[in-house]
Amino acid sequence: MGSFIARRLLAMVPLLFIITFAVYALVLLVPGDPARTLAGGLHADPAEIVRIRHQLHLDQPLLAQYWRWLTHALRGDLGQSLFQHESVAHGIATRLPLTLSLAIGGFAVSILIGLPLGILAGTRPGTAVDRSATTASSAGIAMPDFWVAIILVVAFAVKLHWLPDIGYVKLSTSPLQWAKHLLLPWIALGLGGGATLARQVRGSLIDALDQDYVRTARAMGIAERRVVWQLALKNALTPAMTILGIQFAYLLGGTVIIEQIFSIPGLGEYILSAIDSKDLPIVQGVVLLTAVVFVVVNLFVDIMYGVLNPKVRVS
Amino acid sequence: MSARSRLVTIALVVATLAAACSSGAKKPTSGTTATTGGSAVSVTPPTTIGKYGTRVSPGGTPDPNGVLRFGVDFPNVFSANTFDPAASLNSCDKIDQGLIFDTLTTLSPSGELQPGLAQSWEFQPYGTSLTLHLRPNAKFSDGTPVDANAVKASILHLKTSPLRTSLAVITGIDVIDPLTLQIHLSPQDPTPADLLYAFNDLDGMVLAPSSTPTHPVGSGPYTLASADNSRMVLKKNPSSLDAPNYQPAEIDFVNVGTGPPSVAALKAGSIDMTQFMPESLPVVKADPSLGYNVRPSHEYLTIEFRLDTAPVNNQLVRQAINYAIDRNEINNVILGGTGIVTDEVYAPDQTIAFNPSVANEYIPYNPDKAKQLLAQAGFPNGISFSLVIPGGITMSEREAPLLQNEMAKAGITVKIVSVDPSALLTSFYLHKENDAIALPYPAEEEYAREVYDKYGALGYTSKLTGSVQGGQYEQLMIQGQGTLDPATLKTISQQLAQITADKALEAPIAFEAQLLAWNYSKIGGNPNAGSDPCRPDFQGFFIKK
Repeated sequence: MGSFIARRLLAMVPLLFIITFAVYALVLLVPGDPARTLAGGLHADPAEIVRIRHQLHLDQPLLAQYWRWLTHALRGDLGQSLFQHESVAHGIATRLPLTLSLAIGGFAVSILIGLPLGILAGTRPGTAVDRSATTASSAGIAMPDFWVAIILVVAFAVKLHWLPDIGYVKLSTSPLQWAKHLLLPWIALGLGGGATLARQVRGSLIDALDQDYVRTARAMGIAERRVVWQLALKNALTPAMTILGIQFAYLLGGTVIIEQIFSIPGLGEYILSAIDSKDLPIVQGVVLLTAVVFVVVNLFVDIMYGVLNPKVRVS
Repeated sequence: MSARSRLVTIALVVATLAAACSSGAKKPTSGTTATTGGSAVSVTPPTTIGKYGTRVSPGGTPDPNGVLRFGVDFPNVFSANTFDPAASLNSCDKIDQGLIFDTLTTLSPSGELQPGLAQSWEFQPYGTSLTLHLRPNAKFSDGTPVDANAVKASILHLKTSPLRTSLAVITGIDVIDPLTLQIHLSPQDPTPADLLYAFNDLDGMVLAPSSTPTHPVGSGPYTLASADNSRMVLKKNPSSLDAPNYQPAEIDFVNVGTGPPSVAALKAGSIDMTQFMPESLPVVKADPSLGYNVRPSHEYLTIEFRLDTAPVNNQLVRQAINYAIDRNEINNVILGGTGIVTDEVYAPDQTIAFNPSVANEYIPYNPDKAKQLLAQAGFPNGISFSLVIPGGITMSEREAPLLQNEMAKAGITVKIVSVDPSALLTSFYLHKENDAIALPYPAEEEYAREVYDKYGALGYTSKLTGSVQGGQYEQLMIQGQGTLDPATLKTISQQLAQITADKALEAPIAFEAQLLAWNYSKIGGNPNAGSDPCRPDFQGFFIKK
């Protein structure tokens, strides 16, 4: 297992290299000139533009700029934001807890909705319960998260005044307020993922329950509860792990719109304004973080495959 | 990129263009000494327009400890992590910084220059010095006096920033006495009147010597108590001379997205007041628990022409284009009917400059007249020109096909070119690509300077898009920049408005509305949306007990 993890971690290096370089090059292609903006716009003194360009190393070739960023990043220095008067590391550090709170909560909602619904439908195929669960999960998949968010805001914040519609309270300040402020975003984020998970679990469970070993177990008189929970579900969860892994990584990088709707100043809002202003160090820092999370989550999923299915571990 | 953030980018581009004129070279002329002065700005009741107007808050007793929660889209409005006007990249920073720092001058609602920390001033038109007489007894919130030395240090600090371009003209400052200072200007660019106008903005904010980017200290009606990415808390500064004009004991700026999220937050009770977009007006109007004020802003949709490029270098063609725009349709479709259609570059409430006889020169829509003018210009089969619009801006993308269809009926083929807002400066202005551009543009209060910048021989924009040189027009533009006398300014500005329209130098379409909504149960008095989206008015209302 150790060498497996080491190999996967090593494979991460070229992947991160490619991702960060591609993003660096793409952002440089975006129109606009940060040096001109910082020098005063259209009427900027050309000498001032040259000075700022040089100061920010924007006058260097792409590869040199990238290499400079990379060598600093390897030392843990993600650079200084061009416009936000703070280091990128500090900017990420202050916003990451918010985005993590959102992503983990949304992920939990996905599991809380998806697993029971999938099991319920998968163990009763063709029944009214299955049809209802399938319809509900189809609806969940069809509804975009921003639309769900708006409906939730209108219903629970504007009409009923049960929950706040905007803002964020730190967990350390008030756990109750923290949860109240995040409940609607969690549901908005987790609903679609839960629906996808439910469909996956249902399908896998129906397949698993149709296998010979399940028939044998039933013929041997093993209790149905044990057949489902200990034999079939364990196998049915292996493909669901992939969905969950992708979902978590997606949630971390995909909270942009939800953060906008609920006015939560997380990483999504951070990178969005950075792209607008062509604040390259921020874009690179957030992309690097997201890429690392994607790779680590995938690695975790692979390890969990091994835990759930020894055959995968051996291969 | 969100529509709002793209819009802000455009606003920055436009603000840059508008500010550019402060550095434009002007020809010195002779003139008389101009002196002005006066009392503090008075509270103006909300202005109403058309069928929308205002719904004020009846009754209520002011709570001396009341807190106002004002919804603002932080990432698109405030510069992050700094309260130093020198580092400010967003002109909307004056929303919060304008409450913390006093400015040397201020503007009346109709755009007249008025005293701020400088209670009076003296200068020779196009002279190389400007003398400011400071308001006595003003104190920073740390108790130190706002004297000439502090003002000098503050101006010199702001001048170190390349962003505060209007201050580049300053070559030195002499402190004459504790309440008087003399500012010396470059003989190459003597613009004392321009500088006085610039002093009503970020460029004229006065910082205490102890002020830092994270702990700002000014003499404004509020002080900063705390700030993070989602909330900024300002507390009343009792030592401010203007403190009695502001009722809330505390103003909390709360981060909320522009558009529907801000109105939803208002209805949910998460905020007490916010600016909002025209498309939300029906929602606000339908909710009896909300008050609102809709008034014309000084920002107008317009088409700027490249005056040195055919076919739009032809006056008859430009007049034809003006006749071929159905301004009412654009107002109704794009601005939800909240705008004021115009063919003039000054807003109706900019009373010094607005010329009523110009209004409706090209209104109503008249495609037949446009065809006739094109034939007269030698284009009986119509013309074709390319029009740049800022890409990704919903308003512009909805406006473009309307313009295309309206002009097509007059035989004008418009090729729409969508350009990313961040590339507008480079593409249209610096690289001179395409024939015209459709933008929202601020009608600045420096009336003569504004048209000089756009059409004068050495104006900043006109250097890139073509100018109108010589003759009465240029003479008026230059004369208008040398005076602050309201009567003279009125005569000159109204003539400028007339000539600008007659020559069809641009195609103004409609002044946008400024919209403010608030919660009845919380706010009393007469909140006013103000004419500048970056300058909401925090006077004239109170927090109810």
